[in-house]
Amino acid sequence: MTAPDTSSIASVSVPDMPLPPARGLVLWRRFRRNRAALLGLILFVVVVLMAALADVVTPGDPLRNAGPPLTAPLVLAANPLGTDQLGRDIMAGIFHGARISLVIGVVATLISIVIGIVIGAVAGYFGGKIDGALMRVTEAFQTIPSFILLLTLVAIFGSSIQNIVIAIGIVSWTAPARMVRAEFMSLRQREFVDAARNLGVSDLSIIFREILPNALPPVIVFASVVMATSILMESALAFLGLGDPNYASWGNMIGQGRAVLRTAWFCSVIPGVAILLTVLSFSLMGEGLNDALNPRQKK
Amino acid sequence: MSLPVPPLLTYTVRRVIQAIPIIILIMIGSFLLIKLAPGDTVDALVGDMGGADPAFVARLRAEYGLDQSVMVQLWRYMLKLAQFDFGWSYVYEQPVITVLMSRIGNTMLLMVSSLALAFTFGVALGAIAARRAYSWTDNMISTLGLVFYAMPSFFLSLLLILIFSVKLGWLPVGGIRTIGAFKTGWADVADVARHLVMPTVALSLIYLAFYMRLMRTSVLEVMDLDFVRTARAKGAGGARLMFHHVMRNALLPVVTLLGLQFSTVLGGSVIVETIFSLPGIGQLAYTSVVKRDLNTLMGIIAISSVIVVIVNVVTDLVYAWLDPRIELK
Repeated sequence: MTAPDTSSIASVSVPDMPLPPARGLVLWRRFRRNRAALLGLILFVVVVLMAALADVVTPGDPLRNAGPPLTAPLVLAANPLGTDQLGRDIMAGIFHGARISLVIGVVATLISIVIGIVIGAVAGYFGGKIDGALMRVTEAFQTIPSFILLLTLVAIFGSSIQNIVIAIGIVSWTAPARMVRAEFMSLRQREFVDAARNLGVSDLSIIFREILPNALPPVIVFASVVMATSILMESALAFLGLGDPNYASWGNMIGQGRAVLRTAWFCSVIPGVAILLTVLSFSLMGEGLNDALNPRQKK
Repeated sequence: MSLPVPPLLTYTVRRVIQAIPIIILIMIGSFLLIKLAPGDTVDALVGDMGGADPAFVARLRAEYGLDQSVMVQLWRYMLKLAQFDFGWSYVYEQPVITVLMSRIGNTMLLMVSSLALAFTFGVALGAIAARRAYSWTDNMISTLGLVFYAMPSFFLSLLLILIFSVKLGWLPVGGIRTIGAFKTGWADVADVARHLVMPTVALSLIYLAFYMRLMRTSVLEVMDLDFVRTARAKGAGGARLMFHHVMRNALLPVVTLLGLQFSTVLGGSVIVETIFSLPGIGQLAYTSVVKRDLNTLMGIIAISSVIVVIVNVVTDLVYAWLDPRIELK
């Protein structure tokens, strides 16, 4: 052990001391330390760029006939990744599919996290009978296999893209809700909550302005998992041919490619790799976020 | 003086009673879904017949109890579900329960083999990774885990078919038995096993990745605990320390996850069974959605919920058996 460094204590009182780095900068430094997380971030940026530039790089409807059917990759300059059995350009499908995957991932995650926060916060904060009732509902949702519930919702309400997003949100809020509830149960006993209550702050305001900001970090980390599973669920639906037929989707491309698997494996392998890398980017970033937000947690 | 009741029995009964409100909520939920769906049974029937006069339609509605109040309908619906009467499947022209029962065996076979594979390899690889934490082996295993985790099961299924059926010709593309072979005894068992290899692998890899990561973290945590140091000080080392002291305790969170994820695995069987045309509950769910067979779909939800509840109770019992600190109260 070295002797405590007294100079740093003394310097606290010096008025022109440099400001401590902003919280965002600290988080970014911790995130950056995890190389795998950086790789995830790069992959994610690539997917976002593909989604943003879809109309520039591959303009026009990705579902139109754009070349001779079943062209192999790297044969025609017009179709660098080849075409499928209907002559649709695979590169256009990949770029436009990135858009659908991201939109579905982000919106469905937002829906499920918001439902999860509201239910988890109310159950954890009030406890007692309210908690009991809400937890029974949560358990009921957890008991039904989520993909079967998703199929049922899509079968009943139709498979437009809006319905699919809402349905994915409805089947994936339970884990965030349990997480928020656990955080609230431990935080509501703390002194700052008692202090706020004694000052006459309303329940609503205590929940959202006092406790929630402290309960959020694990939920943010978990959001990356929800995002990955949402993308997987949408692509699985599209693979089975139950997605929205009006949009290019990676899952649908793989499903269509299944018919020509023997002769043209690239029709399903290329979009498959796209899904794989996108989901991988979310899990890698999730780990980096975890390092950044819970630096003291053991690995 | 009362008879001593074994704590295991009281615990099981208590867990089953706890599950009742959940099952009731699921019944109410599926009733609401049927009510929200456009058209009712009579609409479907009349549509099938190609139209009928209003008086006949009204008589049919009365016969099916659809003219009663919603609460009465809900009550009747729940009574029927409680007797495992899920109605009639208009696609299969059979009671839904008959259709379900003829397929449930295949799904359970797939579930058990996939979870066994995922659990065995996940636990073993996770323990190895933790033993050699931060080494080259650990990095290899962890990277493999990340890839397994990100691999969609339907993509993996297609890759397996491409390699082992199309290119190598080792394994059958689909089905549960070779059609027209009529094998018996062990030849039949071997035939079914051959058909199950690819579906099992396709369904289990993602869970294998989950168990592996959890086991790695869990073993690392347990190895730091005091009792492991005591055991080491007493001279236990190598395999005995690992199997007798560390693994048993490190398994606890993995068992919890196994129970929690059972319903997700059941959902995943929809995709795998559809791709490999295995006649199970999952494939039935898919065809029911395509053919709009709502009764069968609701039957699947009900039966899979019951299975999940049973599995959860069993998991809790296994957990209590593994962890002697838990008292069965």
